[in-house]
Amino acid sequence: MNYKYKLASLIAISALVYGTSCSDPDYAEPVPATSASNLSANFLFVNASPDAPSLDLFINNVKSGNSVVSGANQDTYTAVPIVSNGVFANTNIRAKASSGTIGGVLGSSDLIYRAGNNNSNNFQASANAYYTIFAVDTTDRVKPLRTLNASSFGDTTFFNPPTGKQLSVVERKALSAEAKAKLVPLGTIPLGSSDPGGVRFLVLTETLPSPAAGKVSVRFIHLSPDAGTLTATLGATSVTSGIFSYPMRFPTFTPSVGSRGTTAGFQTIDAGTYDAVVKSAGNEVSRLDAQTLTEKSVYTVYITGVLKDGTLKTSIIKHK
Amino acid sequence: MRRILLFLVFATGVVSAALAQGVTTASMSGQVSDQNGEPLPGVNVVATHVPSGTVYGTVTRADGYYNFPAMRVGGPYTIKVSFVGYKEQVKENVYLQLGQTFSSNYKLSDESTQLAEVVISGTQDPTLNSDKMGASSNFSVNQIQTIPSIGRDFRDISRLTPQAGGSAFSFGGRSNLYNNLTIDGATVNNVFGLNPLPGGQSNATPFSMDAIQEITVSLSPYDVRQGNFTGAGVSAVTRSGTNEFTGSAYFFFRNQGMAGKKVDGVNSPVPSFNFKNYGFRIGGPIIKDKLFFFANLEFEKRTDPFYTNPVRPNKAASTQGATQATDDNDPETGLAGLRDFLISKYNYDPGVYKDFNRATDNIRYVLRLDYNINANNKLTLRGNVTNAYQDQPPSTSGGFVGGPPGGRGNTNNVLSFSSSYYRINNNQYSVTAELNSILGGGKYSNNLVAGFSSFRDFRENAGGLAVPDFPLVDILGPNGQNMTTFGPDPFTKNNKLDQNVIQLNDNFNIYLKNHTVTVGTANELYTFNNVFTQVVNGVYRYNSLADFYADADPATTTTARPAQYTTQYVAVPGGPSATAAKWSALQLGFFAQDEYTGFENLKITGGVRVDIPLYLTDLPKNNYINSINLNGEQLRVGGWPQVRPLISPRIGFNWDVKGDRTTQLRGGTGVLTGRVPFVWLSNAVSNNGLFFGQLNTTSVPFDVTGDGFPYNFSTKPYVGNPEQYSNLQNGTPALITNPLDRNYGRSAIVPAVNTVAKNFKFPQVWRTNIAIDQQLPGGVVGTLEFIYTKDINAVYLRDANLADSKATLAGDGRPLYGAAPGSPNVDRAIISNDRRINGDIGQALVLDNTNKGYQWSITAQLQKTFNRNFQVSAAYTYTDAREINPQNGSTAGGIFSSQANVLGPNRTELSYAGALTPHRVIAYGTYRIEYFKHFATTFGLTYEGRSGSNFSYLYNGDPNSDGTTGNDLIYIPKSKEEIVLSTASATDSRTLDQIWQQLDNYISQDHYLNSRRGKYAERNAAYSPWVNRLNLSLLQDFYVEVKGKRHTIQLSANLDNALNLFNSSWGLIKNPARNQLIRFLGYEQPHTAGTVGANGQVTTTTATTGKPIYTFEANADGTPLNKSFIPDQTLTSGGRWQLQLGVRYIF
Repeated sequence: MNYKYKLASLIAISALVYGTSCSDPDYAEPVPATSASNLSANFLFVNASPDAPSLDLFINNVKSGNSVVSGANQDTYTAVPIVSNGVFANTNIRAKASSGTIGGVLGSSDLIYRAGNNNSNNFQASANAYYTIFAVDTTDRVKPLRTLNASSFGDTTFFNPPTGKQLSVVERKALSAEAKAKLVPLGTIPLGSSDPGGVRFLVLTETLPSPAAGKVSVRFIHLSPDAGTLTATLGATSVTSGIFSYPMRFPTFTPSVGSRGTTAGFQTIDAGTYDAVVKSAGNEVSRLDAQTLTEKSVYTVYITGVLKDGTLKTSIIKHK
Repeated sequence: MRRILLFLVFATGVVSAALAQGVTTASMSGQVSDQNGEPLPGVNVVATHVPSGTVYGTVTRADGYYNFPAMRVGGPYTIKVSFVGYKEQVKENVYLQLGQTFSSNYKLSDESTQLAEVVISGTQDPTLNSDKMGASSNFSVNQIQTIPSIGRDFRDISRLTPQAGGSAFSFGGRSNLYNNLTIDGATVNNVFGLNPLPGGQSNATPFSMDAIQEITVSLSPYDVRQGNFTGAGVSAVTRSGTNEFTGSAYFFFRNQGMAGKKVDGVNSPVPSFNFKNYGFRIGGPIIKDKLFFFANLEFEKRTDPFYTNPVRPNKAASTQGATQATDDNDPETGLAGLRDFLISKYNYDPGVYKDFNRATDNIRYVLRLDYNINANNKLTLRGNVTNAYQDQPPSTSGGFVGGPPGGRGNTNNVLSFSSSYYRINNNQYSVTAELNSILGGGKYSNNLVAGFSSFRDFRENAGGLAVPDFPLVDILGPNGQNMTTFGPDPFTKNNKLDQNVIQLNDNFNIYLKNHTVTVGTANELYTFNNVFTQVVNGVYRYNSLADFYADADPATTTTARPAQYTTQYVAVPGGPSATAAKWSALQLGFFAQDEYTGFENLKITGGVRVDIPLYLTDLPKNNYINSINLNGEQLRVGGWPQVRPLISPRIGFNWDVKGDRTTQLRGGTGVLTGRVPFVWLSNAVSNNGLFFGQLNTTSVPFDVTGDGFPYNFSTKPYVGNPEQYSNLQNGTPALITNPLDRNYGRSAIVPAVNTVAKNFKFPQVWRTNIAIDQQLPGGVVGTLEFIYTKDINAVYLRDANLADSKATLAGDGRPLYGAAPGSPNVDRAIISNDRRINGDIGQALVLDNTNKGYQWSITAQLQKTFNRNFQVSAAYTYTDAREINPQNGSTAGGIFSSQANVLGPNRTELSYAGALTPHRVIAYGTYRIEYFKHFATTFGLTYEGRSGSNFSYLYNGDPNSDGTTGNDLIYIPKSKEEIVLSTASATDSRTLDQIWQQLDNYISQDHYLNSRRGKYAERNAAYSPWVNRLNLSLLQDFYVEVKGKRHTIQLSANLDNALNLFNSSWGLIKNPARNQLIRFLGYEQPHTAGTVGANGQVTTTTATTGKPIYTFEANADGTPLNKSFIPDQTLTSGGRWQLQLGVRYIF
């Protein structure tokens, strides 16, 4: 056998091995989606901040509905695409000034919904659900520090490592400069990123009732940061459903969290025309007269403004 | 007959193999004939190793042939051939390579012929010779000394092998755990496999370059004496003493001032470090011509800062990427107070949180004795010791739950205390005795090697301190990232590994006419004692420093609990030492082969080797687990594989095509049997479900403290149920005794077990190579070499308790597995949609085999050896390698969880191997010139151009719900309609359209992804950019001759990554910016919750029908991720130039 022939055979065998070896990995064929998903939820925005400029609501960073000035609300819910059905927090909620900046503590930053104290989680929305979103608080609300007193606006609490004790403000002042240097400011450590201060969000997840003919569903929502506990009446009828203390100061709500989500029920009354009166300790602080509540409709009476400034204002939302 | 044989060789592809001889010595053979070509029997042939005076003598047999087995590597040798009535012939300057059989034939003239004594020079081309059959590379002491290697690491030499991969110490696309490293014939591999090499965990090389005479890398040895690898066999032999005292003392150093300050045009300061490497070697006679010694002692010390990233004290001094410090929060103030608190309350000093260093230290010494007992018996004794340690940052792993976000090592966010850093110690002790004997007047020879290697690996706290009994605590900062960690690393307490390898090899050679027959045995006894009690002191995580204080100190007015707590407790009587994986195994090997030289110009070798792994230790059985039927499979916890002989036939050839050694065809085929990294077997010894119990919780299921449950911070470790061990052995699991647990009264879940399949076999491959070597003009030798390897028994891991997929993932098409299984704190049942087949146990990994997998490579190489002082080589290799699952990892669980896949972890696709480097160019050269009688300059150069490292594009998360995050290959969408995207967080200001646009742009700019739109990404199919690496060395000698002996002062400069010195954008190593490209957030419609039955169990659930939702995250600064790769800025990656200077005295 000629050696050239052998070499040729060898190269042929090598080529055969090469050819049979060189192939792409065998992966399954995907079955991708052929159309986009079609989930949506409904949002209605209320600018309940006493001093914020006109605000625009953004859901997943797309403007939702019309601009809303302080003390006003959008007239209807806007259906907005969302990308999960109440499974996890992935609906991004923020508000921006309609022009310029929000100002105050936020400055040029947006108002952002944050679900938790130490995180930047989004809001968890469900398909076809209704959400009423309030921008509350003043633009100059200070960035909160952790506090242990009931007023929600206390001082920073310090921890003294050498003694293993927490110190009050008075106790802290009595320490030497050297001892003060070792103190750990308890309240400031876990906070800061979640709530920058200024205007913040209150989101109500709505279960909107369907009143019978001749009836309406109503409730009252307290959105004034300094007005204490309030009562509301519609004509002679006391409003018993809703939120009657400023919801951002509820004992169960950590005041340091930048945003809050909760619910509030409705009560059923007869349809008709009512004067809405809001009282504090029996004294009228705000009213809205001659409001016609149409049968089979659902309403929220809400109060905004600052008591000490005399700017309380009662408004009404027609949910449906 | 010859034609038939040749036909068979070619027709069956049964080609190959260089008869690499013994791996510690070289050999010589040949035939002596008269002027007429008639064989001359009885001719005296004497080969003398000139430096040591070692004499090898024999007489030719009846057929005129002679053999010298087991000769010293190196030279020069002088060979004298004499016979009464004939002129003596002398051959000088013969140098023998490791494993080489030097072929030397002689034609003697009778004395009546008027010729003077014939003296010829004995050179033999390293490639064009009859010994070479398989693919192998040999590196001499000259090359070892002059090839650039800033780490003075033998791996830099072995990397010159054309088929080497880009990753460290891998060859031909196979995992580096499948190599075998021997020194003087003794196994010094880290056979346990936590790292391919001893000392690897402490960044130490196992031996000094100054101690090494030669290194051989064999990829396809068809010599059946070689075994225990399916990657490459790397053999090193140490230097020997000679009749002349020779030696050297040396010192090398480098620091941060001798490294590049810029990476890709951007200033990137090098943290200060200090590296020193110094030592000496000496060799000489104890008894002239009889007994010689060689000794080497070497130190290597390095100091690096652990603290390189300050956490900014305030915004004004902000450092990019740091968000931990705010106007209100200065972490350093808090940490100073924390240290005071820990000392005052617990008498525990966590150490410092900044300005401390990492120590790297190792000492290596070698002592070798060579004893020429007599002309027929040579004895070699060699001992070497390596003691190495290196401090390490705390592990980022959480153990059985997720680690803290942001890790534990120092970053701009994290300031961990020094007590959490640990030291890993790798100590190695090895002794070898080798006896080479010539018997029967040269008709037989015997080689006997006995070796003992001992490895002692253990951990301490950094600085060599004892590991205290104290939990580890992670405390998060305001940005949700870990801010600090204190307490000992959770994987350090009781962590030790003792390995012993006893080796006994013998082979007996019989020299017959045209045949050299070898029979022998190779046996290794392994003993292991591995203690690993991870997380035994518990790991706490707090969301804030305040939460920790509130939990740790009852005096505070607030209360808090950890955000996460995990611990593993010893469930076996006897404490941590009783959990040791203490076991022994034996691998017996027997072989026989014949080297046939009866064909003209053709040498053939054929043989067979049988390896028999035996397991010598009875293991405790988990009869409870073993009684469970998993869809027809019965687990075998505590069971070893059946004993099976593994047969490795091999055949090789070398054909001098034209009879003038200008064209050489060589090759072979055969089976190679390797070891499995024994840690994978040891996992089955220790992870038997008997030794440990676990507590893991991230919620607050227990409002009160019960059962000693240390949910509130405690420095004492949790004490588990003492009956758990015996109960499981008896076949009855422990019951949940906490009345607050909803599964109260049910059996406690056995978290995970590892087992070995009954039919499991050690790795075997069938390897074939064929090569053509051609003498080219100008003395250049060209080689074209093809190697094909097919896996016969590849290692494959599967989870026997993973239920079949339940549905198909909507909008994707891949299988969707069941919902998360029950845990101790939620309802648990065997339900229709459970991920587990049996809900009472967790993952049940089975070490098994598959025959899927192959590797092949083709190499073109040009070499020229001008003389011993001037050699050059250049080679290009294309490689392809496929595997079913990664063959690299220190635990079975780690390998299993890193099996990137589409169909599920038990159905992994055959895809590209992790060790694959498809394209690689390697060139090197050394040149030495002496001048002006007192000067010599040596240049060394290596260039490596290669494909970057491969990687897989994965989802961050677990969209296929198989229970493992980060192992699902992505689907690459063609359009927005094919993927559901969401914002990443509340602060994400992008619209969903913008997120898609950014993802789409990223895919478009990535060559691999763009080519795979509409398909799944493949495992290890994407590559980092091409790597160019040029290393240079310069040795400047000044020498004088004193009484005939040369004394040299040598200054050296070693420049690593020289291209980067010229331009900071050259020579870069680039890494994937984000290989877990797309983050999985959840499903549009989740797994439906089941209904709770009367017995408290969930009776049914429904698999999700919703599409998965993802996000494509922006960079930390909010800019879009729009580049696939970023340059590696670390020094260790080699992406910057570094210079090392040295001084050496040689005599």
